[in-house]
Amino acid sequence: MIVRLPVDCRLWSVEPDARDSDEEILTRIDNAVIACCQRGLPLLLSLHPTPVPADRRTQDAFVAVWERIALRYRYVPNTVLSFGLVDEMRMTQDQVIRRTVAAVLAVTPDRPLTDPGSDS
Amino acid sequence: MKITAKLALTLAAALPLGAGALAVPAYAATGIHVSGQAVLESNGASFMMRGTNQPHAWFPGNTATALGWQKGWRANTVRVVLSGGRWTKNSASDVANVIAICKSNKLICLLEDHDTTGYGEASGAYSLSSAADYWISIKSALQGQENYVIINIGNEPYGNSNVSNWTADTKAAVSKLRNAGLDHALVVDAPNWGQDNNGVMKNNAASVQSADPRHNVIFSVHMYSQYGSSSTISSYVNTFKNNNLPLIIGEFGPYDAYGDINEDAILSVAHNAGYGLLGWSWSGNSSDLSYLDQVAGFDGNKPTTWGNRVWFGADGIYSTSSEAAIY
Repeated sequence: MIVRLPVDCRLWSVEPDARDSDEEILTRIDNAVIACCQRGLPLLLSLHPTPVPADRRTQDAFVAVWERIALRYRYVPNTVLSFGLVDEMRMTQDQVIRRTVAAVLAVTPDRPLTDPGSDS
Repeated sequence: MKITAKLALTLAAALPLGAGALAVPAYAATGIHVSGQAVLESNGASFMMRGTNQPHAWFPGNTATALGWQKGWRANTVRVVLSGGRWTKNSASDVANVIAICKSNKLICLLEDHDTTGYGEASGAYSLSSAADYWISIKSALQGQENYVIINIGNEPYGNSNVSNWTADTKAAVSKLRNAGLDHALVVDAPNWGQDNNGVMKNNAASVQSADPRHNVIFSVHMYSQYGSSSTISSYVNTFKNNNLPLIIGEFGPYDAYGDINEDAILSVAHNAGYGLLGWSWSGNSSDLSYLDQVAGFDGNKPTTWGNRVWFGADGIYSTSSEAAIY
């Protein structure tokens, strides 16, 4: 059994810089990770809906969102937490996905990532 | 406001008789302190220790990285193995550095002297009196750190021989430290290699607490294979709770050479009772005890079965720990 937690990055992203964030919202995600640990349930953190980066600025913002999540949970073992990078094949830009995967794995090299497009 | 003894006497003299009882404590609480069964911080916030044991005495080069991981796994305390000479002595400057690492990771530093392990049974073990001398020899690193540091006088200070001496020896060691000006919260380990098989600590804890002029002693049991059943664990913990005395499980594991340990019950019972616990140990156990390593090769990327259980399972450290208020 696995818990899939859909999260909308617009709730915590602080414009104009996606690297800024609303700590109160992210703390709620922390608490979800803790609650799953307490119950022995692995958690799949999934962006839902996945934003569609239309230009370089929004592409960078998308990568930055995941980089921030990867950093925040870098100490949490792979048995506890995995990431679903994109949702329902809305993201079709392979280059952005590759950049995101690289950014996440640079922080947490063994983090399980669901196959882009299959996380639905 | 900190009420000094002199000010308290002045206030008492200024009040007319019958104006109401002015409670003048024989001492002022300093830093982390005990109140009944609770461990409190200097601001009065309740503090429940959650973390692991770090074998600094044997692997000093791994401490900084390990504590970073432990903080990342939401520990609020680390019990640090030190030696006063049974192994390479940890100097005052080394201990000061350990405290600095604890503070930079926002961890409470529970410092323990491992030299006493198995005294009376293990060859080369030091007495509690010798352990007290070690703490006094490094007090320059300890004084002023009462908000961040707890002193665990001696690890498992008796094997299974002459355990009845534990009470008098423990009181004497506490007294020695107080007379030397060490006002910290003190942790005292049980005899019987920490497991208190005969209930010597359990039955004498109240008198040890009373004998400390600061009433600032926390009792520590090590739960290994003597604690295979849930009822044994509950019974032991509830005795301290019913007697309103502070307790931690300073070490425990999933099993040992003599049998299984009910780690699920230890985690659950301690959490429900509001008592602290610290698993043994982060890494570095000898090959015959490697099942007690929480990560392989000091690498936080490699949690073991035991590590995953104690940190990330039900009632584990990750889900039950809160950062100390002092940070």
